Amino acid sequence: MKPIPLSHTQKWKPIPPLLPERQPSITFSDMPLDLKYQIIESCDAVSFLSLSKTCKLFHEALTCQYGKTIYLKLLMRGMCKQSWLIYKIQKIREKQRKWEEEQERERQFLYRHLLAPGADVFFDQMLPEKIFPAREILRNYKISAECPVALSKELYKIQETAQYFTKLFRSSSFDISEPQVWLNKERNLWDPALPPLSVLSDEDLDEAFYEFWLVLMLFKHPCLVRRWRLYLEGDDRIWLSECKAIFGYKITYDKAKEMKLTTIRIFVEKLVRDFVSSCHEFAHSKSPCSGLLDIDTGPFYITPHSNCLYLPCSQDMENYHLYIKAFMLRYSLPGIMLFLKDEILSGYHTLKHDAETFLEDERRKGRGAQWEHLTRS
Amino acid sequence: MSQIILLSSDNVEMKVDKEVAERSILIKNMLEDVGETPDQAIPIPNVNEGVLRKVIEWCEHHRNDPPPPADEDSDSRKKSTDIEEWDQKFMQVDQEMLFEIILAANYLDIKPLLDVGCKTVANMIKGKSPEEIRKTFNIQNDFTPEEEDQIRRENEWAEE
Repeated sequence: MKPIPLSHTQKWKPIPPLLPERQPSITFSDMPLDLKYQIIESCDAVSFLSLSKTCKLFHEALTCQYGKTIYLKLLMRGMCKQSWLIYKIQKIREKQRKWEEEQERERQFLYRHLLAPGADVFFDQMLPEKIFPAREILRNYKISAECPVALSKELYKIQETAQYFTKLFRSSSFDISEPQVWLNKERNLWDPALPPLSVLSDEDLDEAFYEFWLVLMLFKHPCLVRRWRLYLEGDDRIWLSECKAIFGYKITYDKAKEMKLTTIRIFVEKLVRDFVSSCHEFAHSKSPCSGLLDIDTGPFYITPHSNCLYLPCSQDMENYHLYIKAFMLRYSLPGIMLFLKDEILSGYHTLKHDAETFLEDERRKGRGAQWEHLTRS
Repeated sequence: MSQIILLSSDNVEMKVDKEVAERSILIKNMLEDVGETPDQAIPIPNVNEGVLRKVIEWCEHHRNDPPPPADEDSDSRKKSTDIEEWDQKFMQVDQEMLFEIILAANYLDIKPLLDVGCKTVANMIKGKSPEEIRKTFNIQNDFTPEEEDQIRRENEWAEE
């Protein structure tokens, strides 16, 4: 575009503006939409939500498909590698559950249709158990085109969890590198896909794994929490089985064992102490739930019930829920509570194996008598 | 060093080093199209004197900045809200001027200045409740109580 040459007289006359005149005092709301979006892209996810609640103009601009895509991008920008790993491992576990169900159906089908009755002696030999290729799937996992809103919610919760644990690590003076923002430069702005985990070094993977592992231990598997004492006392076999369950083989465990085990153990001890102390505080608080906490046994050592045959039972889950509540109160972590609520509730429903239910089942099968002595004790 | 003249929308001429003016991709392209340094003023419609002076001040200060790396996409520029100390002071202006600078940077195609402007506004939003944002930017709450309630429900997963 060539500049417009001006004559001497023109210089002294006002030149009509090429664009329509703007209001004398421009505000944020008056900014063109593309610039509003540019500003919002410089914000964080929480600011985005706050801004969307100020007025109709911003609400409409931010809740349209374009706005949602920006929001997802803001969330993803704030995610550290630990958060991504947690997210991906959860997804892999979902895949694994489905895969195992499918395998089981296949086995049952073959058992019913191909093998003669009474031939189950050879069943395992004929159908050797397959191993779910967790590590391979994890490394190549990409976020598919999921609903941005649902994905946003999921990521938001995971992010908060990961950030909390990273903060906790740091406050314990452990050397955790700054969360690394993952940006996929090869991909364009609107593609929420992530790079595969193969860009992570094994050390990165291990570090992220440990944080994830701690989250699991603390919140997702109350039955494993029972064995906490063993971790602290140095029974590494449990670590091994956990690593195997997630990654499918032993190398990660061995490498990590050399580097991190002592550090993690010290951290875990501190965490447990903090947690116990917070539960003591909670137990002495005015909360109506406080009386239900068994502070003598400590929050992690859930007392087995004498009349309960499967562990953890519904009572355990209830207690465990209270422990988590106490923990959340102590650290003011509503996001984590939300994140874990579904896990806890789903566990609560699937693990409802109290003695009465069990005995009822056994009685129906005509075997009730052999268990009666347990209920009497 | 050769100089060029810029003419603001309110007809004020400003002499600027060509190198400084070329921080604006729009002006740089114009000068490349002409092929020689023009002796007439280049009109910058829609940018008034006050704003143009501020933009030139910024370009003067950043005249020796290396161009952003070729592979740096817009998202990696925006990922941090950190602003250099000088830029922070530069952006300590009233809101009207701030938004005018953003508009001018966008019009003149000065991406680093546009980023600084956007980050400054982003920092003004950061950590504020909707009500505080309304106050800061003089935004009228035009939601009905029912709409507000609905929005609260939409977002309660992030608030609980």
